[in-house]
Amino acid sequence: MSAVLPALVGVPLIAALVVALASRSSDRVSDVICNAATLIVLVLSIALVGPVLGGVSISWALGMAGPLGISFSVDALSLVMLLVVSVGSVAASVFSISYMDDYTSKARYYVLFLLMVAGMNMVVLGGDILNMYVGIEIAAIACYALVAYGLGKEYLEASFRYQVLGTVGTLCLVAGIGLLYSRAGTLSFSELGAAVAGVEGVSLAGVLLLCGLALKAAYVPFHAWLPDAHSTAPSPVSAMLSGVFIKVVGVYGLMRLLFVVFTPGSIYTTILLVIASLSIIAGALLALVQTDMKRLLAYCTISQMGYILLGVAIGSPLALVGALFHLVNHAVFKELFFFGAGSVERQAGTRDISALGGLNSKMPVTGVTSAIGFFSVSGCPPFNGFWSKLIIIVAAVQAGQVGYGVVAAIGAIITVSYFLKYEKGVFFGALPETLKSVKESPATMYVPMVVLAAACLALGLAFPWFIDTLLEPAAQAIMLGA
Amino acid sequence: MQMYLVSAILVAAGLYGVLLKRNLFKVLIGVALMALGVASFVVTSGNTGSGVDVVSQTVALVAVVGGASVVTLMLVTAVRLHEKYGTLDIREMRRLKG
Repeated sequence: MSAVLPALVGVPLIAALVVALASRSSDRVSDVICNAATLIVLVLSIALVGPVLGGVSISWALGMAGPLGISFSVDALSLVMLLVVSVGSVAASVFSISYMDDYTSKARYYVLFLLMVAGMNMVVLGGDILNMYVGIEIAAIACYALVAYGLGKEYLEASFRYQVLGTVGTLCLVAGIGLLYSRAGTLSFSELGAAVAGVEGVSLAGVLLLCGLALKAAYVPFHAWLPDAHSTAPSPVSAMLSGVFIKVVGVYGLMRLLFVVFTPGSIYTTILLVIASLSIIAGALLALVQTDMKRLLAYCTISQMGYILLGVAIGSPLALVGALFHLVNHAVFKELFFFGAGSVERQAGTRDISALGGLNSKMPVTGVTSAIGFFSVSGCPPFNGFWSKLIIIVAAVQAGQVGYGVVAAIGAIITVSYFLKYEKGVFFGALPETLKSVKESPATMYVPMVVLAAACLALGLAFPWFIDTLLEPAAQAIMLGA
Repeated sequence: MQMYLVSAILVAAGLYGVLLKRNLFKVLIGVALMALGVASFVVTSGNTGSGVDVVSQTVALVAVVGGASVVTLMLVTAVRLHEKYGTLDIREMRRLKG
């Protein structure tokens, strides 16, 4: 079973190489290779579910011991992230088949996409912080190039800004890792907890790591790069960035280190709670004034990431379950929204909300799936977003943080209002004369949307089962700090 | 102690370039300086007295390699931006909405 772990990183890496070598042949070859690779990663991750939940400890190491070699291990938390990555990447690579036809040199796109998937799998499997960091760097560099993929002015500008801020973030991480090692003498997640107890200088390392992760996860006030990068990238890339990437590089690291470096109840908790509330409210208010579909979704991401951080910062078992559940839900409905926005942009030629309208009659599948996403994000029972927000708010009240619970509730109300604007502006109302000839997008684009919309409903209906089997063990893995 | 000071000066100079310079290449040089500063900070903090710990060396090396790859990508982006705008001045480019 342990041979599965290197395969999860190796398969996308090898596929990237094969696609690069085969790039001169037809685009269909690279379509097939990329989709096959992401599908294999999904199957392998699902194969891990049984053993990991059964309590089997699976790990794999290559080369020297400790952070100098490559060590992979998987627990329930890694498993949740692994499933988010693999489901997200399968959906995005199927969506890319038709969507990326409009761009040149599709094969190179797939190379970067697969490198990003390999990097993210390395992040979630890495058994120590250095392995995690290398994964973050691989995925981030692939992302910078993917954001610039269109090569237009705005793509390059967004990518340049993302590169500068992203690099400052990774440098904060490196400085934090170096300092942490020099104080604690280890970088392994399983040994850090015991090694840092009472050691001086760890708090500075904690601050550096926190700044790096906050920049990567685009929490307010570290969010300046996100709206540009996430709205200008090609839509499947936006979906991966917003839905999967920032959680893997930002939130996952925070969850791993939370109970190790940042002791709950300390000043960090207060800082994290404030950052979370700022993100929820500022992201939602800024989303309210956007007229570009994808920009609105990008600001919504900042706001929803605030909910996840709120759950993590409260730190009770219930709050962690809520945070993990919201992480999964946000990945599902944000990918759905970005696919919807991409499909509208491709078929109608614009993503300006004020120029669109009444598309429900022309693009029924996109319209209905987007409406399901709307119910989910705005917290209508029985959709998944309702339960995760409810759990986070209940956990906040239970932990005595009533004020932050109120902030979360206010954020949810603003979310409803800007998504009402989004739905009304794009899918309802009068159909402009110029859009009379718009058609539904091809099947490879709407099938991922239908699947994700079904997942929104399924996760909402089956949430007690989902929480019991998968999220409870993952929350326990966070609490153990290992 | 002097080495910490050197690292701090490098990082501060880099930050100055990143935050205040308007020329893309100067921003890029700022990022490169910051990467160097962080790498020397990591090496310094790993100094055990009888030499630098091998893991700290590795972390610094990874930082240098990562920094170099990002700087390369930034160079490519800056050259492409120069092709599109005919200038490297950030103010001359269309300001993306904040």
